[in-house]
Amino acid sequence: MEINFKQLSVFAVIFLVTAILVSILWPRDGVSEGDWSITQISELSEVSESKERNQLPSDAAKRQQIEAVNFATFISQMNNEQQNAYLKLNNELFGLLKFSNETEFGVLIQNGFPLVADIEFASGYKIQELSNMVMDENSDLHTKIAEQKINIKAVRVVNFVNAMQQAEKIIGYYIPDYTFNPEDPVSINWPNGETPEQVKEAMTDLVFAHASVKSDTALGSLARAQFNMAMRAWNQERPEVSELELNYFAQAGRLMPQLEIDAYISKRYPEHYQHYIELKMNEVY
Amino acid sequence: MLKISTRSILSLVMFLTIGWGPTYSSQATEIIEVVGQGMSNPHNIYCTSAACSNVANQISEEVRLLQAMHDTMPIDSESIQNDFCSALAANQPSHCKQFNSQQYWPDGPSYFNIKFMNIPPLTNGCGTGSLLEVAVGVIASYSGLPGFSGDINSPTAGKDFRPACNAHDICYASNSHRDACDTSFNQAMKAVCSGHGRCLEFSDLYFGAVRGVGEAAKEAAVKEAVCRSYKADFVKNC
Repeated sequence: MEINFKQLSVFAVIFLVTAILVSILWPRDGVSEGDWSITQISELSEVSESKERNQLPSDAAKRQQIEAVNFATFISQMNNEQQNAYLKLNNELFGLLKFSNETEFGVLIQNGFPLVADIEFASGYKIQELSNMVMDENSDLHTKIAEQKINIKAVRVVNFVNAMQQAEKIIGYYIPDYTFNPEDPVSINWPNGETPEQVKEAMTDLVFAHASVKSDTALGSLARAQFNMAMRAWNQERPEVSELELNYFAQAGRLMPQLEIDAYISKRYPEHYQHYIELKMNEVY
Repeated sequence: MLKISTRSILSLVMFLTIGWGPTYSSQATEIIEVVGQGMSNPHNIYCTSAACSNVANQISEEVRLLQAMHDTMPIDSESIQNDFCSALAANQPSHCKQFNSQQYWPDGPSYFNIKFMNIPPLTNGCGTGSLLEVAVGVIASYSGLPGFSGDINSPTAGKDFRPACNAHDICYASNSHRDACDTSFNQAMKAVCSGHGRCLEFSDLYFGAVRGVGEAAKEAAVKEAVCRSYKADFVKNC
């Protein structure tokens, strides 16, 4: 069969139009563009065939029947509420969460990435209660850990994210659309000059959630960096990344090179990149 | 006539210098000399507070104007002191009045209520009433927490946070930058913990508390420091 140039051009146009339509109409409820740096339509087509759960390197991963080769496929199997929970998690952790194969997924879980069971478990408790439970080695929580029902490292991270979200929501009752933004801290004038009790309670919850999240995992370290940035915003301090925050980024970068934190720091804080690398070489936290 | 000595200028420079950054020195004293006709020596007023300095300068100016109008009128040191103390009492910072002594003491010293103001101590370890009140209160309610010694100052047995808490109290009261005070506090606790896991958890909790709910404590510490200086000036000069 002979195809002339004109026919080839028609095929090319049809192909392009089809590609554009597919990219517009592809279902992605609850996933907003830009929330996930790794959410690409091309990745959505990479859904893998069923594999044995025990191929994942983490026991925790075995608990959830998922077929995950990247985030897009991971969350595409979830309902809107679950997807939103993961989007919030990624947003609070600087949009850095990513994996591109099952091995990396297992490493991510070992570094505090929650499965749906962990998120649902955390939602069943008050923040301060859960903070103390994860610190208390004799709590019921540890029985469940022993039974491998939940991943305590992940529960800590989820609890912290929930505390951040709760604090912003409650402060937002008084200051609409409030976010902990260290680069543009909002000046706060409380009614009657007094911090409302609700806000105090939310901040206390956040303090406890921060104390319970540990820097021995990459996600825990990122959570700690986020807490310190949030507190800079909360206290309306200088909009400059601190030594402590860089230390936590360095710790996360050491624990999980796959998160490409080096690239993030290089792009976001180029003037501190060299120091970040030095911190990464010298383990402090 | 007001004369500010070289020493007082140096003191002021020292105050401006040490008042910036997390330094824990006490406030420097400014000496204001008030000179009147017929006085063999100038009347010295010692000030560490702004209220004192303002009143002293005001008295000095009044003396200067009075002498200009009545250059033969003798003004003695006692009348200067009486006028100064009366004016200083009238200019008590309003937020300090809550600390005034309410006790009655027949034939007690003048301005008893000010000289015996009950201001909370500058440092009180990590205990309730200090900047960690909120967090510590909650920790105390979880005294069953493994590793919690039951002592707020030393939540992990053998690891004493009290010096770090006291230094932090002083840093806040000195009106240093809050983030610098908090960072030093965190480093001091970490040094005490020297890698001990549960101790580090408590240090994180304390550090988080001062970052998250320390604003009121910082404001209170600064206000109390003003009252402390005001009281000290009153006791010294009156």
